[in-house]
Amino acid sequence: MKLFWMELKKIFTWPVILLVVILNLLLYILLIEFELEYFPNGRPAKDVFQVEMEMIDRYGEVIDEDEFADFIGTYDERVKDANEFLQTDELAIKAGVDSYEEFRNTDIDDMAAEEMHSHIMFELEEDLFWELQARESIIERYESRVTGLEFLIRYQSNSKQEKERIREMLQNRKFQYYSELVLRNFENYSSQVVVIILLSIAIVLSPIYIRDKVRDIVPLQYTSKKGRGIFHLKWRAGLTSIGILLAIHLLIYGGLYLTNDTAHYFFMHVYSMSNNPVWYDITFGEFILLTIVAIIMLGYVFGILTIACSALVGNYLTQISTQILLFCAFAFVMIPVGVQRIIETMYLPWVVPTIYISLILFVCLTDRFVKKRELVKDI
Amino acid sequence: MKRMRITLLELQKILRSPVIVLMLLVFVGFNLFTILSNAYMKDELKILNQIVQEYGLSFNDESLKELKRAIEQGVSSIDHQAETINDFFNQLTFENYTNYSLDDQKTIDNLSLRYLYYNQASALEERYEELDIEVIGDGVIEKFNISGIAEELILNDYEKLAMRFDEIVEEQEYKTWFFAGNPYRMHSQLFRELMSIIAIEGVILVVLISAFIACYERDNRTSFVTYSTKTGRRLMLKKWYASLLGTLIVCGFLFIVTLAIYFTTFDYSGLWESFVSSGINWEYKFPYVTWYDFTFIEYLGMAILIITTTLLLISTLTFGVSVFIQNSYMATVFCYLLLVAMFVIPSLFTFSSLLLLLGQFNPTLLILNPHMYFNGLAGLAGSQYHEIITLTVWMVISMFLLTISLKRFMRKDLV
Repeated sequence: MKLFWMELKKIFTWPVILLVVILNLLLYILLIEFELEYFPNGRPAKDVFQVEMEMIDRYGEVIDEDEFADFIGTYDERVKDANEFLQTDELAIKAGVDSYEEFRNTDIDDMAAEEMHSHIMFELEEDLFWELQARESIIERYESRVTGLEFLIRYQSNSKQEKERIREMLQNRKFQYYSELVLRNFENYSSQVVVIILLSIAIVLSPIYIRDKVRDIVPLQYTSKKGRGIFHLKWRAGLTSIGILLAIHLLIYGGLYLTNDTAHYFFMHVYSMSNNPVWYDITFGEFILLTIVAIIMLGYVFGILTIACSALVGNYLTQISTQILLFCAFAFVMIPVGVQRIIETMYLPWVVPTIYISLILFVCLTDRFVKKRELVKDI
Repeated sequence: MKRMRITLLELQKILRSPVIVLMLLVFVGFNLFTILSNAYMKDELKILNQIVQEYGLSFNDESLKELKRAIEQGVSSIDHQAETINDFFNQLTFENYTNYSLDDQKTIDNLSLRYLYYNQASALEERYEELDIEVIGDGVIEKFNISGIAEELILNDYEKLAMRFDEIVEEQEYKTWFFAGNPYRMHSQLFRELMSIIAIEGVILVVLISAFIACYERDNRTSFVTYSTKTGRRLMLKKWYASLLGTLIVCGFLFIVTLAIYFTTFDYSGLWESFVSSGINWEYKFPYVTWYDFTFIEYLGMAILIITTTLLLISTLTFGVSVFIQNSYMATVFCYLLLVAMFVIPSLFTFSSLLLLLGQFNPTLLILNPHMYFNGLAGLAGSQYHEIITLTVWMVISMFLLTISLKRFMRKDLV
């Protein structure tokens, strides 16, 4: 056990920790900050988010006809407020606009009206009008919820299973009531986090075996009493450090995600807030858990490949190069397919599970190959 | 030759490692993929080569009239009733189009593309008149919230740029044919996409190579032998030459192969002498207003030169860091992070406009924006000598760093 701790300490040396911290800071600014600070991004999006929070509290996930009528009622009230606002606003009076209906149909060529329009929307940033816009988009989505899915069946779905799934959604009235704002934000956020996690793992674990090889102490280790058991010991220390890295990253970035205040959405089904149909009827909270599981699996797969690579190659040049190629493969294939669109019907239902299973099989085979090779190798 | 021998032997250490070759192949494959994913428009682009052949590289009212006449003739040969070109294309619905024979369809495609170029060319004069460079400068200042000395510097630049712009207009430099910027964006495709991809790939390899060569003896436990030979620690200098040579080879390979693929896919014949500041090359909000009257081939050469120089500079920087750290792994990762930092950190300088402006002079931003070289309308990076200043400053910095770390290395205890 003592040796195990020593090995662990050898993995997390101060310079390495420093590099990982710098990497995290830089990539936080480059990739993550935007998803946190600018969520929801832009004007109608912000208002859509506000209105939807209110809706979830009042109506829950499914909006039936009565609730929708209630929603329309609120909308009408707001329109009345808008009318009152317009009737007292100077510029609006000047432009001869005294109702929201006219305000919406502002003629771009009409200078006075256009000036009033941009004044109210962009200079005053009058929330009321943005809110109305947000409510309109929600109403529109509600009214086209059936035709939307029918449209998907006819024009966009490319496989039989996908068509069946959408038909089933239609039958069981699994409609999209909410905008995909929150879901997209989470998907982008999580895939950026994976990028950071993979790079951190690569930086920390690449030297694990090479360090000793470069220092020529492997023969010493293998002729000691512990012998080649050290190889397994290091392997276990590597696995532990992958776990440590994953835990720390997931805790920090998970905590940061909570600042987006999307807890309202956690108990709603993913299909009720996604433009693209999904295979499974899971809630957003479950989707988050699924993503975390996927991240952990990817982290371990990538980490074990890194360790195996470190055991196989002889110098840092080869190690870093293979890491770069491996990372590119993960970034271009695994992150979009295996994290971002993990349950979307874009891919056939067996594609994503197969990818994960084959990855795990591959890792197991590599694991055995590397360990066997090490046991019979000449010193 | 004998003096070069050690350098060449050092170079062999990298060129013999299969993984560098593998990475070069993967990178070239990726570039090939990028080029081919845009190759669908190469046939349409050929129309312009025909136009250039028939009407010359630069255009004026005369040749535009001729072009229009030719299009009119072409239209009336297909549809005798059409009175103007506009009429013809306006009534051309998809159904109408499919009613024509295949040959006619080809002619119609050809004519409509020529008409596109005619329209863009004839509208240029007006569009250029509407541009006010100094107003654009004020826009930049407002957008980045710049004040103090930085504001004066930028205003001064834009004043000079306005003169240069007048020169472009006066000498009709903008009236040369180039692939239509608006639908095709070929300038962006070549320089913004392809060249910066090559640059990134180059950086990845160059950092690896330089750090590897610099730390080779240490990593392989041969330092005691090599550093106590007659050449001794001066070997480090030879290693530096080797890493520069390696940089040139890697970069040359990437550039030659990728550009060869690119220019065999897209036909630039007849356009080499066209100006980058051509108005037809107007892609986004502003046209390209280059500080000097670079033709396309000159611009391409300059871009290659700048990227290569920057890579040499990055190689030197990495070499300096590696000699200092003496651990190729740490040095490589550190240099990658340093280059990323140069990209990230200037955007944080929003509190001081002078820092924001100075932050633009860094190698990472330089190699990531090859489409903006020598362009006056490049936001904060638009000053006349931007490229030259950046390169000189960083050349000095990296040489300084290298000298310090070499000096330190020369005196260091070996054990």
